[in-house]
Amino acid sequence: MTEAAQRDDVLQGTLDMLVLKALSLEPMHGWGITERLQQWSRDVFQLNQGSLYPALYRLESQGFVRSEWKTTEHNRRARYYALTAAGRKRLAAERRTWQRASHAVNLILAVEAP
Amino acid sequence: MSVVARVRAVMSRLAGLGRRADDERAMREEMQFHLDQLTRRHITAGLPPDEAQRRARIEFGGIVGHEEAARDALRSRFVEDLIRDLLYGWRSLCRHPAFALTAVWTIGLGIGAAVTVFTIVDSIFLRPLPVPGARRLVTISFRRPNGREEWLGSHGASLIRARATAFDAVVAHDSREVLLVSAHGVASERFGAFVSPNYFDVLGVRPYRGRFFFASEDSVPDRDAVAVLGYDLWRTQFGADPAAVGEHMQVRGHDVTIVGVAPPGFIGISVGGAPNDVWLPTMMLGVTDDACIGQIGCRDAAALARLAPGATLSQAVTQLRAMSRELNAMAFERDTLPRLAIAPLRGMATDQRSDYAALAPLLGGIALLLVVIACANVGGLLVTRGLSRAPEVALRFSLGADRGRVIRQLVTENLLIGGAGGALGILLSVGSVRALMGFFTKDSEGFPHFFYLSLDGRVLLFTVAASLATVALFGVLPAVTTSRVALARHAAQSRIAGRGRGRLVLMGAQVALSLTLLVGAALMARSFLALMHRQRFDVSHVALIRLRPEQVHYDPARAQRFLRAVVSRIEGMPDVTGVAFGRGIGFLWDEGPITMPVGRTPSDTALTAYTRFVSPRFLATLRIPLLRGREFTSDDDAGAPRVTIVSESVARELWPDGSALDHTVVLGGKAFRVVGVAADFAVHPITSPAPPIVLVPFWQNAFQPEVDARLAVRVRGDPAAALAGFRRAINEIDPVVPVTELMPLTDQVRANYTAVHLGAVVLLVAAGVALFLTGLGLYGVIAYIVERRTREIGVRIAIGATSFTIVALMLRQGLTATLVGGAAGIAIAALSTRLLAAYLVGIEPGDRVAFIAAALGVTAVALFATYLPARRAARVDPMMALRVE
Repeated sequence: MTEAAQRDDVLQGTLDMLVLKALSLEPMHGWGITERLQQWSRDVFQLNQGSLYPALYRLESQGFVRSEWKTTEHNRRARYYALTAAGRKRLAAERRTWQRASHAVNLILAVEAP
Repeated sequence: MSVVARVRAVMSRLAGLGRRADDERAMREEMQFHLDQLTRRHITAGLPPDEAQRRARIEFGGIVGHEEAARDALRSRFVEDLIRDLLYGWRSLCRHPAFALTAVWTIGLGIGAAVTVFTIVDSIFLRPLPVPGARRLVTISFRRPNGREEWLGSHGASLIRARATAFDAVVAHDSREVLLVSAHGVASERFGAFVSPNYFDVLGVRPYRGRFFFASEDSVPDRDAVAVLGYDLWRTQFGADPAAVGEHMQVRGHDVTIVGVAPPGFIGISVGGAPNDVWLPTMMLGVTDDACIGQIGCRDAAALARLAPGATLSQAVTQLRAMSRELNAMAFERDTLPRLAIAPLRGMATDQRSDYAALAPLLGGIALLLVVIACANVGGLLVTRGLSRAPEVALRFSLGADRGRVIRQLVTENLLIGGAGGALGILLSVGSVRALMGFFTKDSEGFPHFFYLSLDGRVLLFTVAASLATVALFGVLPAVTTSRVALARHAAQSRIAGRGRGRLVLMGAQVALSLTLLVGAALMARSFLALMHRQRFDVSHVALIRLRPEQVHYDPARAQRFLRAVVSRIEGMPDVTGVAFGRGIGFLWDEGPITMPVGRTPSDTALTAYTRFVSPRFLATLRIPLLRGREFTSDDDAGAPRVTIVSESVARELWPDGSALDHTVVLGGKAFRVVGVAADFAVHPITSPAPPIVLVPFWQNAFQPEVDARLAVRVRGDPAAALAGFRRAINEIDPVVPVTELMPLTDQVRANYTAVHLGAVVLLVAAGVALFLTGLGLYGVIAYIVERRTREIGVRIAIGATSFTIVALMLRQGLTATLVGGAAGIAIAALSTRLLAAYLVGIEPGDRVAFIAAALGVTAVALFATYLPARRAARVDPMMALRVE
């Protein structure tokens, strides 16, 4: 397995959660999700934008999001994704896991060298 | 690659076929939209369009890689959905095993019926010979104005061979000669073919041993006595000895040299006729004695031609038409000018089809009715089930399930049913095709018949298509309505009652169709019983034997000595109660009856009677009542005064005062003394009423001395079991004389009237299946109504309704459908049973007994199917019922 692929795997876990979080506010299209995440993270995340789509299809197949085609305010057709009830639950669960894990990581990093 | 991964890959490829285009388009559009937005942002930020686009592409990343990853996600979604749907469907079917089994069996029976008929019609009428290039083969024959086909003859074949360029080969063949073949001291009757030398080449057959015929061996009549053995004959009579090639054998007493052996499996081209065991050149047709070989106008052989590469059937027709005057000159009886008929070689030989021609629409009609009934049943079942699942589906919608996904899940579930039903249908049809073709294995003289019979690729394709069509029609539609109903759940309650009524209408239609089938079945069954039992003689417990001393060229004196010896030997055997014999094709029903004028004086020729040449004890053996006088004795022979037994109708016609005995009757110009009067009996079962019959002693045949004879032996117990003993006894007397047609008389009757027997059995089975399905459907719909109205029934019982009124209430639902459907069924039957007329013996298409019996049968089944759930309704506990909701 290449190094790049490994990095993708690590990213994937958080990417799914971030996408679910973005969709928890309102249904939006893929571009909107990218914009929103960059804005929220104050441009810290330079995500490989194309990799968003496989993640979205996966989430849809797992039943966490559903999609439908709508027209944007600029009169273009775009696929809007929305969170399902299962997606909402999933987001809550992922958030708890993330918080526990990051709390633990922070605790470990906070330990001063003797 | 693991097995699972492989299965997944295959399934995703299959699944992808339909969906990929849509998904792909959506994916591209979506990603393009993203790129456009990104580009626009860079442009707004002040970059030139080129640079903006470049930056956007970099930020988006490798589009091909993303697309691939996206495709993987889509694919795995489909496969996972499918697996999940299948499991879900399987579980939900397991929760309702009664529904699942009913649906699967109903589809299975419907498809089984359709495939069976398709296979049989295919093998009788449509299938080309299993030889290379079979589709370019055509038959050429004369067609008489009355529709009868006649052979073109070898002269016609050579004329066409020389002149018609649309054909690159023309074969002459006579594939149905019964030949006595003797070798190594063993004689047996075999079907032989006389063929032109190009026969084997055109059929693409190579010799298994030795060679086939040279062209020079078919140029001079009676000169080249050469023969090719069939593989089976070579194996059984020559022990598969390669040295058989070059040996001699006798064909009808003529010495021939064996030059080759045909490959295993090649049994000639007489589909629907007997398999060939031996082949000779057409110029050897003289061994059959009655051939007119070498004469113009001799229709000694059928013509088979192969279209030249690039030539079309219509070109061939044009060329033949140009030659029609010369060809017609070869047809005798020019007063009925025949037309040339050219037809692709498919199924059984065209001149043998007439007996079976009416079978195809009959079988087809029956299968169609069964399929319609099965479909109506499955449709009703699935719709009802869909409705009863409305709450479940509504729940899934409210949990956020996608509408398309729910429909797909329902379709998958139905695919499971359809697939299982289709598989069952194939199994059933394999069995039923075999059973039905059992009817065609032997003819009335005991010779085998062959068909190329198997479920082929086309039939399987047909099954798959039929399965899927059934599922598409009755799986998808109810699934769609289910979703709609679920979306408008409130509306559903009021519509459900209407659905029950809709199903009752469907049930009425099923009752009508079942009744039609049942009437047909009753008519055919009565017809078959009449054939077997109502002929004024008794066909049971009689064994038939045909002696053919003519095949070994015995003169009448020698043949009759032999016959006397056989009769006295068999009469002495245990369990034999009577032996009679006579002449004619078919023991009782003479296919070529001899009719003669009969009267009291030579000039009195007003009455024509069937003349039979029979032995002593003929009437007693067949249990035909002797009304007055005596039977023939062995003293009534050529030297004794001529005597006769007349049938009752002859006696009444000639001597109305009843004084027939001892009077003289003139038959064919000769005087006979009447010694007995027999009851009228049928000569041919279709003849009704029985015709006038005159019996003449076999030994005294004053018209033509007898050589061959047919024996009827009445036995105690099973006649089939006694046959081997009879053959042994006859062979001990004279091993040279061929003994054939050893069979119970009932078998001969059945084989003679295959269509009646087959029609009766198929109709009985079809009517049984239809009744079963209709009963099942009625049961289902009434049970469903009872379930829906449980509350109402509870209230009725609570306010004092008796169980009798409840049962009556429910019965009324089913009986209304039954009565209305039944009335319609009687009307349909009255209109359609005329189609059966060709198969009806001794009864009318409007036979009241058949109609009444069928109506009673349907009503009984309907009552029973309705009563079971109705009784359950009467047992509803009002307290429980009211608490249901």
